[in-house]
Amino acid sequence: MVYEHIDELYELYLLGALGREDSASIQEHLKQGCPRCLEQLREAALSVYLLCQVVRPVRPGPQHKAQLLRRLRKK
Amino acid sequence: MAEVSTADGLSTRIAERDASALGELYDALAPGLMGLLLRILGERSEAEQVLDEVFLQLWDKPPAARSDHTSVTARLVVMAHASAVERLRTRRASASDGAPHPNGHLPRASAAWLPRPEDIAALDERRELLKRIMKQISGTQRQALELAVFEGYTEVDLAEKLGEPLGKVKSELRAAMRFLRHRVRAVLGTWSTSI
Repeated sequence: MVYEHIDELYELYLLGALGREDSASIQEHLKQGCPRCLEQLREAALSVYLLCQVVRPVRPGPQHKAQLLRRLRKK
Repeated sequence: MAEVSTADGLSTRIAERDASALGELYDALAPGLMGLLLRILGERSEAEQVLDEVFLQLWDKPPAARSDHTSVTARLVVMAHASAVERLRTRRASASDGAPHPNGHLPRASAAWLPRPEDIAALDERRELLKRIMKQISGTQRQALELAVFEGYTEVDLAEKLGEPLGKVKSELRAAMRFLRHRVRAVLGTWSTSI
């Protein structure tokens, strides 16, 4: 595996933006538990987190929280 | 090192089946998650369904408090993004030929690679700076990035949508990600690095 190639791809992999071949080669490599690549993936997840934070917060409906808590208390 | 956020401090109580802790987590994170879900899905009721899903999944399968030292905040953001993009793609496929999406595998959130709470806290502390940094990404790169993040387009879809060669789209997206990655490193690492 050429690390330099897949190092460029981790953020797009986490976003589901890669084509089949690139995505499959990363999945295959990660199955081997390569610690270096898992650490790179962890770093990529920080960028993905940031990208998801640029949107303006929106309050859910006023009843939403109470309904959710009722559902989980029934579990 | 930044303090771990209140949200990430709640993980242990959630793992012990403390519903009020999940309520506190909801108060801290639901508006941000809802903003993301609404941006992707565009419909309030569907966004609230996904919001339910991610909190219920966390309740059903809380991270193991002793062995999982990853950020619950990041976990929920990754889960919400993946779930919303999958729904959006299914909706888009039904509207066209109904064929399943051949590209764009979305990995499930995993303790093997989710960020650590202290790194998320450090980013959150500098969120305004990072938002300004993201505005430095050039127009065409930012357009491609937004379509990938919020509209679930893969590189292949993007090339088709924008009428650009696939190689060019790949270069734009990868350059944008490289820029962002270097800035994140600067924020988490040496502040002397020029950003």
